[in-house]
Amino acid sequence: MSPPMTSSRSCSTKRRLMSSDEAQRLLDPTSLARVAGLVIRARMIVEGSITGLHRSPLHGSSVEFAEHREYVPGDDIRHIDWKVFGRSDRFYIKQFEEETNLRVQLVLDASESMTYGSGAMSKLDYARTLAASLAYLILGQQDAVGALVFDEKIRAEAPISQSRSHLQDLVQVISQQAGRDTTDIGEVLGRVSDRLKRRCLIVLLSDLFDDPDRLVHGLRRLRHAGHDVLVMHIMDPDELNFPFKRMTLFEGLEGMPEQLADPDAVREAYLVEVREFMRRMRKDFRNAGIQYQLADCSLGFDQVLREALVRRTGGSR
Amino acid sequence: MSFANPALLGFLALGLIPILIYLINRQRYRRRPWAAMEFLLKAMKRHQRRLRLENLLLLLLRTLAVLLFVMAMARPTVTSDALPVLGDVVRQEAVIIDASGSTAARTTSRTTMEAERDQARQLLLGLSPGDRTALLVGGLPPSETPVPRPELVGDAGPSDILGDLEQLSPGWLSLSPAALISDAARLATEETGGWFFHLYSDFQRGDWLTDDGEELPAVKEALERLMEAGGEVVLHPMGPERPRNVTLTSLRPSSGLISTDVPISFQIVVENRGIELVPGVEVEFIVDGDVQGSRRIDVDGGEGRTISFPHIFRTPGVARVEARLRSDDLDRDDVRFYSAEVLEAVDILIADGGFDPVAESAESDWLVAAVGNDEVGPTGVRLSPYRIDVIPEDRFMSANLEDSRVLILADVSRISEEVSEKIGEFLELGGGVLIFNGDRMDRESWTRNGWQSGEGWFPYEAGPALEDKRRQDFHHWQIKANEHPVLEYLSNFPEAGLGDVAIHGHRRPLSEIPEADVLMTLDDFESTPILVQKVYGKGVVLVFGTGADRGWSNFPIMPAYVCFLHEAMPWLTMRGGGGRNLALGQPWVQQISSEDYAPRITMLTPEGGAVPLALRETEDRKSFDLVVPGRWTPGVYEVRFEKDTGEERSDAFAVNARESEGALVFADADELVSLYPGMVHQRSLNDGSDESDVTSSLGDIWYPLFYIVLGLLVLETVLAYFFGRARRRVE
Repeated sequence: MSPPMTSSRSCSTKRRLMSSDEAQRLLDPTSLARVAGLVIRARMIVEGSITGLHRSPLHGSSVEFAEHREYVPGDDIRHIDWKVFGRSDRFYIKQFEEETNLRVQLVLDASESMTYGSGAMSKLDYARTLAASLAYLILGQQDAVGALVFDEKIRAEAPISQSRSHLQDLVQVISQQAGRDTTDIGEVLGRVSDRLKRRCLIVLLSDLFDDPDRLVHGLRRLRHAGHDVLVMHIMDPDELNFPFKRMTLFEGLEGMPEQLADPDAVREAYLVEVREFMRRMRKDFRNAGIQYQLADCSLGFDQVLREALVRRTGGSR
Repeated sequence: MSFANPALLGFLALGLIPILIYLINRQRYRRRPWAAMEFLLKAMKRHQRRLRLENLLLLLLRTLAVLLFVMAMARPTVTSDALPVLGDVVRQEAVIIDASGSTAARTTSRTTMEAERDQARQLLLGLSPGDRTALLVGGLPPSETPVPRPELVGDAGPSDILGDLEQLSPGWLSLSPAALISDAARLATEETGGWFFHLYSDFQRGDWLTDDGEELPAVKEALERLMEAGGEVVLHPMGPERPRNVTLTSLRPSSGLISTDVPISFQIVVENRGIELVPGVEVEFIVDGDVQGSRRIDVDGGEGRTISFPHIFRTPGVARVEARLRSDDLDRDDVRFYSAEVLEAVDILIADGGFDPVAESAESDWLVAAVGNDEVGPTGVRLSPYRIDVIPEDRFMSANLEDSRVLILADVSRISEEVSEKIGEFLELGGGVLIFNGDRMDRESWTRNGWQSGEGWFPYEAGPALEDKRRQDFHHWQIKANEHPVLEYLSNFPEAGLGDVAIHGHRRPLSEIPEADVLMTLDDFESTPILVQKVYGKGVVLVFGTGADRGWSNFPIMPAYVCFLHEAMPWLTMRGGGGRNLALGQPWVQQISSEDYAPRITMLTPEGGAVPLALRETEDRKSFDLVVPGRWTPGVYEVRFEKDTGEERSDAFAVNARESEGALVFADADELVSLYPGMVHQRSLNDGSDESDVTSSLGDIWYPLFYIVLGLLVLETVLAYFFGRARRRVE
C-alpha cells in the first residue's frame, strides 16, 4: 500500500469523521423534528451519514452482469470495472442481474400505540422518518422499494418501484395515515406475504405491541415465503426506562384499561416485563432467521440505521 | 398509666397524617396515555399483593411513629399496674443522710438535719409502688446507724425507711464519705439494677477534700466501685449559706499534773469559724457542775482566742471540768469537757549515788531545788505539788516505793538484781523513772541487771564515761522529738536555753536504740543519743546520758533544767492525763488492783443514765480490767465503784468530739462533681421549695418513647430501602 493511498484514505476518514460529528448533531431526532418534509429528512440522514459506509449495505448476490453504473462512495471497489476505468478514466461499477432486482417492502405500523412519544417525535414519526430514509437510500442505489401502512389492517400502500420519482409516492403513503386503531401485525403480515410474488426484503417498523405468538407466526410465514425480514423495533425511551416519579394514572391505548400506579414501586417489575418481552422477541427472531434491530427513539436515526445496516452487511457476508 | 400533659393527647389525631398523605398522593396523580400498558399490567398483577403489604407496613410504621411521638410529648408515667409489661422499669433510689455533728447547725427556722429529712421525705413520698429504696446514714456511731437494706415501696410508700428517717438526729461524729459510699457500692452490687443515691449533706470541706483542695483517694476509689456497680450519687447540698459559728476547740489545764491547793489555770481556745466578728461571746468555766467564772470576748471572723480561768482544787479525786459557750448556730461544738485527776500531792523518790546531806551539792540537791519540795508561797498557797524524798542509793531496797509516783536515779553506781526487780515492778504498775547517768555508774551491774540484753527496763547497754575534765571539748544537744510531751514546750521556747547547754561528759550507748525512743542527741558526728525513753510495763523510763549536777554539763544552771523537769514530772506521773480524756468511740480501759476490787460498778452518763459495768480478771489473776466501750456522746462519764463493805469511790473520764466538725466550711458541690467521678449535682433550695428531682423522669417512659419513635423512623427508612433492593433482587 503506497503512501499516497494512505494519505488519501486518511483524508477521507477525516472527512467522514467530520461529517459523522455533524450528523450526530444534525440527525438528532429533536433537530430533525423541526424539518417538516420527510424527503428532506431522509436525504439529510442518508447523505449525511449512511453513504459514508464503506460498502453499500443493501445489494444482491447474482453473478449475471446486467449493466454499469457510476461509482458512488461506499460501493464495493471489487466491483469497479477497471477496463472501463482504463478506457474512460472514470469509475464504473458492474451491476449484476439479481442485484438490480433487490426489492424492499417497508411495512409501517401506524396503530394508536405508535402515537406515543415522550420527546419531539412520536414513535410513529420516528418510524416514518426511518422508513423514508430507507426508501431514499434504496432508491439511491437504484433498487426497488415499496411501502405499506397498517394498523389492524392495511391502510395505505405504495407498490414496489425502482423509479426515483417513486419516492414522493412513498412518502405520501407513509405520512398520510395517523395511527388510531389497534394492531394486528400477524394478520397484516399474512396479507403482505400473499401479495408479494417475488422475493424481497421486508422491513417491519413497529413497536410490536401485539400478540407475540401471532407476530412471530406472521413473520415466519414471510420467511417461509423466501423473504428476507428486518424488524425495526420502535421504542420510546419512556417505555424502555419508565422514568416517572409521581403517582400516575396510565391511560391505555388501543382499548387497554387505565391503571393507577406508583412508578417508583412498580418500575422494576415493569422493566423486567419489557426486558423479558424483548429477550423473547430476539430469541424467536434469531431462530427464524429474522434480523432484529431496536430503534430507541432517543437515539439518532443515523445511529439506528448504521447499526442495522452494518449488522445486515455482516450477516450477508 | 397517667400523663403529665394529657391535653397533648388531642394531638393523637396527627396519626391520621400519614394515612391522609397516602390517600392524597393517590388522588394527586397525573394522567398519562401509555402504550406499553400490557407490560405495566403484568407488572402490577405480579407484584400488587406484595406492594400492598409493603405500603401497608410502611404506612403502619409512619402512623405509629406519629402516635408514639405525641404520647411521648404527653409525658406518660407507667406504673406496674397499668403496664405490667414494663413493670420492671422501677426506680431504685436510695437516700443517704449526713447525720454528722455539723448537721445540727441551725438556720433561722430549722437545722440542717431537719432540712435534709424534709427533702429526703419528699423524694421518698414521690416513689411509686414497686420502686425500691434504701436508707444510708453517715456520721452516727455504728450502734445507732440503721443497716442499709432495700425496701420495696408499697401503696403507703416506704414506711420503714420513712419511720427510720423521722428517728434520725444529728450525731457528734464527722462524716466519712469513703465509708458511706463504700456501703452504697456494696448495696448497689448486691441489689443490681442501677441505683441513684441521693446524698443530703452540708458537704463539710474537710470531709471531702484535702487541705490543698485535692480529692481524697479513698473517696474516689469508693465512687469508682459504686460506678462499676451501676450506681450514681446525686448531691443535695443542704448547708447554711453564711454559717455563723463560734467553736470551743480546746480545754486543757496549764499543767498535766493537778494537785490540791496548787493554783492551776485552764486554757480555753475559742475560734470564730465564720467570717464576721462575733462580739460578746460568753464563755463559762464549770467545775463539777458549778460555774466558776465567765467572760465575754469578741472574736473576729476566722480568728481564735485563748482565755484562761485560774482554779484551785481543794479536794483530791476526779473533777469534771467543762467550758461552754452561749449557743449559736451550731451548739454541738459549744462545749468541751475535761476529766481532771486531782492529787493531794505527787511523791517523788530520789535515789542519789552521791548523796551528801552536808555539802548540798549532790545531784539530788540540784533536782530538789528545781522541782520544788512542797513549797508554800508567802500567802500560804502551795506552789508545788511534789513531795520529794531523797535517799542514798544503798537505802533503796528499804525505801517505800509504793507511795511514789516518780523515781529518780541520780548517778546511782550499782544496780543489783533485787534493785532491778523492784524498779521493774514499780514500772509495771505504771510508775515513772527518770535516770541521770554519772561517772559512778557500774556498767557491768547496770548492763546485767538493768538492760538484760534488751529485756530489762534500762533502754541500752551504757558505754564508758567520755569526759573532758578541762571542759574544753563539749557538745550541744539537739531535740529529735519536737512533739514529745516532755520536749514540746522546750522546742517551742528556745529562750529557756536548752540549745546553750554544753555537755563535756556523757555515756555513749553501746547497743542499738529504736529511733523512735531517741528524744535528744548530741551534735557530734555520731549523733549520740543523750535522752532516751523506754516504755516498760505500764510505766516509762527516761534516761539522760549525762548527770543532773554540774559535773558533766552546765545544764543545772540553765532555765531549761527547771522547764525540763516540770515537763517531765507530769508526763512520768500521768502520761497523757491519765487516759481520762478520750475521743468519741475510744474505749476507757483501767486496771484495778485486787485491793480496789468492787463488785458493783456503775457508769453515770451525761444524759443522766446509769450503766452497770463489770470487772474482768486479768490472766495472771492479780488484778482486774475495767473496759468501758467507746462512748458516742461527748461529756464526762462518772464511774462509781461500790465495795461490799459499803465503801465507795468514783472515777471519771471525758469524751470530746472532733473539734474540726464545727468548721462549717463547705465544699462546693460543683467542685466535688468535677473532682470525683459518678456524681451529679442536684441543685436544691434550702427554703423548702419543691426541688426538681434529677431522676424524676425515671418513672416516665417519654424518654424511651422518643427512642422508639427514632427507631421506628430508622426502621421505616431501612425497610423502604430493603423493599426496593428486594424488588430488584427478586426480579
